[in-house]
Amino acid sequence: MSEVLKISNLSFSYGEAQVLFSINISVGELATGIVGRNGAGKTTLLKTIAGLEKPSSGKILLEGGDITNMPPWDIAKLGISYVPQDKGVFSSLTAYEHLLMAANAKLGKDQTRKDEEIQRAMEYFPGLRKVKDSRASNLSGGERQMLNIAMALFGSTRLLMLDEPTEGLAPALTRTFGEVLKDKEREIPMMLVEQNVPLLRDVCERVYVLEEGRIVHEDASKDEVRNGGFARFL
Amino acid sequence: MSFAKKIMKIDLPQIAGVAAFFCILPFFLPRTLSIQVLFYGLLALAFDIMYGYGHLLSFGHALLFGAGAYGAAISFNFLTGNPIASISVGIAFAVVIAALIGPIALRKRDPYFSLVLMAFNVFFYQLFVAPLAPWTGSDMGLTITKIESFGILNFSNKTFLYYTMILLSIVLMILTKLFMKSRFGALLVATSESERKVESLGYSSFRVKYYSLLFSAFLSGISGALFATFLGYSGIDFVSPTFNIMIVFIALIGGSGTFLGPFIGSFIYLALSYSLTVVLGWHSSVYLDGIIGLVIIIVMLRFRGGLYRYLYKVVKDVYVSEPIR
Repeated sequence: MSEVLKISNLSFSYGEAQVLFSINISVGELATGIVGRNGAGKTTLLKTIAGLEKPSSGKILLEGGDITNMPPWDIAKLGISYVPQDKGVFSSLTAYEHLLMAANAKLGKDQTRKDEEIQRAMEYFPGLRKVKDSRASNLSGGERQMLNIAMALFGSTRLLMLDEPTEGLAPALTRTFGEVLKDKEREIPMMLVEQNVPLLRDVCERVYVLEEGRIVHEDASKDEVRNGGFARFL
Repeated sequence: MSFAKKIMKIDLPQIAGVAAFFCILPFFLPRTLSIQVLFYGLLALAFDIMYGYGHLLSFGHALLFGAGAYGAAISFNFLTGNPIASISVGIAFAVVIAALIGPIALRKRDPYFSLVLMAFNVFFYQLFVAPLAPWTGSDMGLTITKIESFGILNFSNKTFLYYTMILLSIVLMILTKLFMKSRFGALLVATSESERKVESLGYSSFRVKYYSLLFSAFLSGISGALFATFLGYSGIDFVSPTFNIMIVFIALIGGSGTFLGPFIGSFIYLALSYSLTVVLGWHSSVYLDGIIGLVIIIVMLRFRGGLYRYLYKVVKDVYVSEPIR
């Protein structure tokens, strides 16, 4: 299995308070789960990889290339897509403007490809077609999450990072996301922060457990993940 | 998308409405006041690109307007009487100032951004009053002494000049609409909501704000340059730090974050000033700021979001265009 992302001895502090302690993680071609209780440092870890936070030490390598301390827009252009936990959207823009913005960033001036990918996003999430001209402020939580994931899937995504994508969603919608993730998992390497144990068992080939900023457990194979060793830490 | 398609996407009736309004305004108000309403409206629109869409409250747009006005006036008097060249000098002066101060101011947000721009405005104001007095005329302002006619453009015919200015303003309004409808406009709005999210999509939020400031400076500079050309004069008040307060008032009274709001605000502000001067005489200036302050309080409390949004609600069934962008 080739290594897409390698994190070595990554530490991060908010001022005096250290949040991550010498994290070592390897992300392969299939999905990798990160689990842990609230405040364990899962979101900070994803933000640090995305360039939104600057690590105090350590290295982050994307397919061998060093991306530590790169600005977030350059990291995004390299193909790391980050979907934050807050289901945040730009409330004054329409759903279509969101898709166009993501397509412009990742596909440049190739209008044909942009149109194709926007159509494909709407096929993946048919609910988006109905609301494409609505202001994002009027979208439901589920629609916002669909929009965020659709935006993250544009272009040649080399790593998709999802922070609790099913949190607060209705069970039916969680199943839909699960299906999309399972489908995409074959095409795109993924880092998935989740509390949903069945989803993690279903999708991930490796799971790390984070506790107070340290990796305390690793299920390193599909079988170990299926056995759910990680679940006893939740 | 072709340029023609982009033009069709913008709200042309709004621009046509503004143009028609300014064509008939000189029948009710003095021509100089009418052109002041137009250019203060354009200036407030330039300010509102940064504030209404980018949520960046600028206290430096008087500097950009004044730079356009003085750049053109100085060029007319000391470089060339050619109006195209001198107006271009005015625009360039405003854009260069914005290009220089932008990287410093845009590193900050909210009160610090406003205060950094205000500090630059004060600095340049002092520069214009004293060290540059031989070129700026200090607090007496600078009267333009030579403007050459350009083609059919005869600068001694003020009526013809007025309508030419309206034509130029229509072009500026179309440019502004194109900017706001472009992906850059969408990015500016997005940046105002979450810079981090914009950055994680692959855009530098600093660049979005910087290029928006340059466009805003272009619009402010050209408004100042054209206004000075029309008046044949550039006043020190144009670059005064206190002028910024008026620009903010105009945008807020009319409706920040809307296209027509700044023009409505400009008309109300200047019509009110003019009417009070006519009714109360020249000593009205003693009360003017107080009365205008009262109007602003009423508008802010009764018509939250500005008069345009209130009027929009009243006529919504007739005219259903979105207020924003």
